[in-house]
Amino acid sequence: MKESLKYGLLTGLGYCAIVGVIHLVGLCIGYIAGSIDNFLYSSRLYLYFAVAGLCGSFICGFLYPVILSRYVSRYMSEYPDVPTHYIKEISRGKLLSNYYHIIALVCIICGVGLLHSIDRLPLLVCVLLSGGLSFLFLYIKNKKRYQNI
Amino acid sequence: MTKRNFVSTYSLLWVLVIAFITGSVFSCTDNSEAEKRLTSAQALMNQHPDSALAILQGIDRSSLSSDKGKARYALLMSQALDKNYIDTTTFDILQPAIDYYIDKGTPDEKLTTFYYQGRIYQNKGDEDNAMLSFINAREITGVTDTLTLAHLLVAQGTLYLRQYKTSDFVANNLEAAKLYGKIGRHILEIDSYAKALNGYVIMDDKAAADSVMVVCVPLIREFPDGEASLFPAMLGYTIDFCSPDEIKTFLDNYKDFELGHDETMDFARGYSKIGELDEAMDFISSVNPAPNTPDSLKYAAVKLDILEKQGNYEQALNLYKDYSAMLERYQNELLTQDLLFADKKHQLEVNVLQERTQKERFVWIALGVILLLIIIYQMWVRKLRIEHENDLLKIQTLQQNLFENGQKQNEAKERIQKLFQTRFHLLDGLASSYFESKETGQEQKRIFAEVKESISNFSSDETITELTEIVNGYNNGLMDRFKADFPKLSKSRFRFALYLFCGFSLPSISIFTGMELRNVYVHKSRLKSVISGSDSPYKAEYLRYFE
Repeated sequence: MKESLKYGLLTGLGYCAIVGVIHLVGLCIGYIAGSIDNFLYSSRLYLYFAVAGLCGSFICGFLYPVILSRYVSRYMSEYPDVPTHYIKEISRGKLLSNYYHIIALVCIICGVGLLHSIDRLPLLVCVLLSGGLSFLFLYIKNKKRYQNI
Repeated sequence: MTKRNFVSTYSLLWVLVIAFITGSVFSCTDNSEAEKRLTSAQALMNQHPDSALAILQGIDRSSLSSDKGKARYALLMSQALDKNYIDTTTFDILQPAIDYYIDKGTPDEKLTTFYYQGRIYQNKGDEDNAMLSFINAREITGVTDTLTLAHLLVAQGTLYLRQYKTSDFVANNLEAAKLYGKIGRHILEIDSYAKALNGYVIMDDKAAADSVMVVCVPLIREFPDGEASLFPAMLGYTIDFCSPDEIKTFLDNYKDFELGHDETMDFARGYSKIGELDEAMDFISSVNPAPNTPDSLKYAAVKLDILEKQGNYEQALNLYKDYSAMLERYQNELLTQDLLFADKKHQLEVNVLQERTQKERFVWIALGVILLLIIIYQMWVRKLRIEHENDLLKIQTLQQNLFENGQKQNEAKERIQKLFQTRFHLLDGLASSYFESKETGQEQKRIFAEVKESISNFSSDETITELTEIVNGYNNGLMDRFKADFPKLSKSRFRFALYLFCGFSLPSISIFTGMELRNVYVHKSRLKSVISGSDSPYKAEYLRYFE
């Protein structure tokens, strides 16, 4: 439980840091473009998505050790001859692969769904789509490494 | 804590909870009473605005605690005052609605708020801000309150007429007329058509004026109460477009009716046009407009025409001087007002905002792309370099770690080592050259490519055939038996098994196959399960090589 909480908090903090950086960059770009007084990113939908993202990242981090231990038990029984540290590496890789897959799907679906409102919510749509594509790229890369396992 | 203290604390908690619930219930009750009254006032607003006003005046504003409740009261009160012809010139009543609805209201609530904001500005004489409010209202999408929208169009049309934008005035009133017609407010519909007709008369567009007349005449027959609204427009139409006989007939028919200032001046103009100058002078003399108003300009223009036709040139000249001065003053006032430029100013602001948004978007995209490219390039170059170095280190130690420890394959081992001797020397040399040319990326790339090619020779078909011969030769046809026992295994699995039968270490097999070491372990484990699960008589012999 302690470990789950630790992972959850770390993931949540990491998410907050990323959102903070994006927010800061948004402010800087707004300043450069001369529209600092027209802060497009303060609408309610941004807040809802930010909170949803925080909850999602916390949950992902919280569940990570639990699911990982299940994967490790499964692969240990499937490959009894393989050394433990390799089993852990394979389990971690497979779990992260699944995480990337789900996050990429969610981000891309939400991004495409909000595409018609890109004028009103430009930052949100761009972050969702670029995040989705990044996770998709990571998923494909990871999948190649653990193919046939 | 003693039992007595615990009981009294527990009881106190319960009392607080009950008090809280009771307070909430009563405050809700008070609120819902005020809300009911607001709903009643809203229902009566259009048909009985005086009753609506009375209800609203009876509501205690302090009982409305939420911002939404205050905003609703503010909007309804402003509506009631306007519909009861009480012109307000301050925002004291409407301000809560402006504060709440403009950000959080539904489209209809925003529309109504902007409309009444504009009406208050109009009452104050601040036509510039009135126009801005109306423009903001018209930009709202998803509006369903047709009546308010129609009122808005008429009010904005009035401002357009002040700016001499007669075509916009006409367009607004025609659109308003259609909306009024849709919701069955036919008197207002006729009123708007009358204004549009007036506009076409000012623009001297007879054909368009006739098209409006075609619509109005059947409407008047159906709703005779609207005739009073249409009369001034009909008067103007007749004077400007009809023949002298028609003008005379019309004027004679209606001259004894109760006429307003504007209609009286039009009668004077009409009689002047048909040459009945005495009648014209009688009518114009009965008018006494306020100085420096549009009415006084019209009065001067009509009287000037009559005096000129009568031959009173001296009086005409004096009046003309006054008229010129008034006209100049009036036009200066108009030009100094921002009203003329309100919609252009608004459009400019919208354009600037759009430009800024586009600029921002461009900067975002450019920054994102550049950052991404830099990161990808750095990662790729670094990864490649590390991978190459790791691979070469493994390859350098390949010769020493070729075989698994404890494998009793001495003769076969020697034969295999002899087979790979020259290749090992070449690899060693290449690896050393790689690490020596650390500063030259291109050279390192070339050497690594050569190393890869050499490694691929280790797993070429010829090498595999030679290894198979060695294994068969030293182990009583082990590979041939294995192939016969497991004919359905893939080529890569046979190769894998061959490497194991040769006694190669797993790191070596990893280099030969290009697989990661953990994958080699996994494949070994899988192959072992396949062999263990089979019925082969040589199962035990095969499994010795999987220890």
